[in-house]
Amino acid sequence: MAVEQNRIIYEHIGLEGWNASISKYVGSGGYEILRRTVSRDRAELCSEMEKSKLRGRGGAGFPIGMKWKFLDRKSGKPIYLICNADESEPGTCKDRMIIYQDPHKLIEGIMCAAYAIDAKQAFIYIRGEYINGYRILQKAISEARASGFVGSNICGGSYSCDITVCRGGGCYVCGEETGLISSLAGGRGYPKIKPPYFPAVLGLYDCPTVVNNVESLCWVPVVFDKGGEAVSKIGSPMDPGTHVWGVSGLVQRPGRYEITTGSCTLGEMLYDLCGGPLPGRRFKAIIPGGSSMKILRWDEKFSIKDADGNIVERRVEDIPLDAQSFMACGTAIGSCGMIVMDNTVDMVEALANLNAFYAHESCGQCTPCREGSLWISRITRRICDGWGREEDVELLTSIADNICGRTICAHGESVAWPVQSNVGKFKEEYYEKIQRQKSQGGMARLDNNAYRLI
Amino acid sequence: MEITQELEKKCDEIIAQYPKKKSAAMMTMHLIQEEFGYFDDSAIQFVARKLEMSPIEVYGMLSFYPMFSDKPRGRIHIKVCRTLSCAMAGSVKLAHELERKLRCPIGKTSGIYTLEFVECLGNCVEGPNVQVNDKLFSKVAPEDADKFVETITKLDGEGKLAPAPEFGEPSGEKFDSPEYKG
Repeated sequence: MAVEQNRIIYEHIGLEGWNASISKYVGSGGYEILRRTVSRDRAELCSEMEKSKLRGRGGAGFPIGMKWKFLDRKSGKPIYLICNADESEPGTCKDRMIIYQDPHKLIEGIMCAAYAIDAKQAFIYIRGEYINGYRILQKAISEARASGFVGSNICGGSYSCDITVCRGGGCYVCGEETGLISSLAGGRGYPKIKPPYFPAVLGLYDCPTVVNNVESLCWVPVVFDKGGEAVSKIGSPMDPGTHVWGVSGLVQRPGRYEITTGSCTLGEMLYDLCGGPLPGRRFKAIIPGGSSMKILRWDEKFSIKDADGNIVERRVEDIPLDAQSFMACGTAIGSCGMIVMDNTVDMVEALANLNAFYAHESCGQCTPCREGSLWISRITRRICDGWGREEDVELLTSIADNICGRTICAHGESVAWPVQSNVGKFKEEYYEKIQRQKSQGGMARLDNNAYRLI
Repeated sequence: MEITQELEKKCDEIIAQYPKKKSAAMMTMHLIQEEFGYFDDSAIQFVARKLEMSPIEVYGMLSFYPMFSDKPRGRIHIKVCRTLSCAMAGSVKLAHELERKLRCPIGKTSGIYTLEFVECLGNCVEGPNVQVNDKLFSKVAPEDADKFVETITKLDGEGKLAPAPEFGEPSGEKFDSPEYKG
């Protein structure tokens, strides 16, 4: 079966003659859903969202409707909506296209969501590097404001809400929702501990706050238009809708592909859409969803219970593209930024590259993450440079195990998971590399036929 | 640093958009960074006064966020993405080529250039990615380093590396080179 894309969120992206202006968006039926939404009942809209069973697209996969439901509405404090456009997970690049090419889709999504949760003000926290994205959003918001879709009395109704765009400062940890809130409140982007700092209760200025990813917010008008029931029937029942997969790394046709969940397998996507490995090479490993997710070895096999309860053996290329199937294989789809590695890639160098990233991005609040991420980065660097020791392999795992679960935010897991899975699954490569280098007296880089990744 | 009335006005406009003054810190600091290129004591004092923060809080943010700098940077600020997808497409080699070509060590400023490795630029499917000031260049193959330097020097001469948003531009400016295949 040929793999087909199902473009719902990316419907306009890459279309010939399309641009980011409001006239194009309105011309294609844009803002009609918002117009209908502002006269509907809020409780009904929130229950539609819950019925859709859509999971957040930012990485954690928490159901969007549930997030809205947890909002503390009794406190009488104002409610804030934040759009998380701080896309900085390595491998993830899906939100960039929405912001650059279809900003009005995002704005409509934000306004629909803001109405449904009765937000006082909406914010977009965009990463600092997307500087033209910031300018595009600013221009799009002023266009939408002039047309009465943003600001006071939206679409002639009684509801008013404005959108403010704030730029980040190139800090990865500000993509974590509590870190983002700290940064937006003014100050260092330090994540806060949950409980008590659940954004739904104690978010921005200690008020109830919803933080949703760009792609998640783009789903809101779709749900309000088609109804939650209908959306929950698209794709896999446990993870409905589509995912925008950003496939990067060593494949013939890297790119962004929007695929209905569960409609095809990993192998079908990599071979049919991405054209398979580069000529003369073989796939070796993939990281399914942003670099912090656990790596999968291409020749790995899993024993999975199927729908009827029978145990079946499943290869990596047979994993259907939905959250549940990846979870059954011990990893997660995260933000769907898939990084593909082939047989030329040295796994130690690949891990050293990621460790350098996580060491650089640790915010420094929690000791295990602050110190541990630097240690593992130095150890993998040392192995790459030719001064590895055999005990380093165990040491790496031991440090990672001691970071995991001992930090305020999930950055600790982001540091630990790649190390645990990479060292665990490619252990022989580490020993082989260290022994080879030892026999050559630390001449590491000279016999390295792989890419230099660090 | 001279704080002009125009700058004060821009600051007030930013502050007016937020429910609390302190929230405007990120955008105010971006404004200073773009205006002067770095922060000195007077800039920190200015931000602190405007936002009713203590100078040490402003300095805390300055040292936390990699995009803010307390040292002047070159007019042409080259950021090469070093994270995994771009690295597999050859960005490490590219950065070393640029280092040699520009005579500017990675992480340093030399003349009008600042050359840096940065973490993921969020365009992983079209690596290697290089951001020069506000402009993103994608698919910059290491063997095209010479041509790339010529291109950015020419753009700088024409004043086109300064902010010039093309409304609705696609992700990155494709650097016209055959795809790097390893």
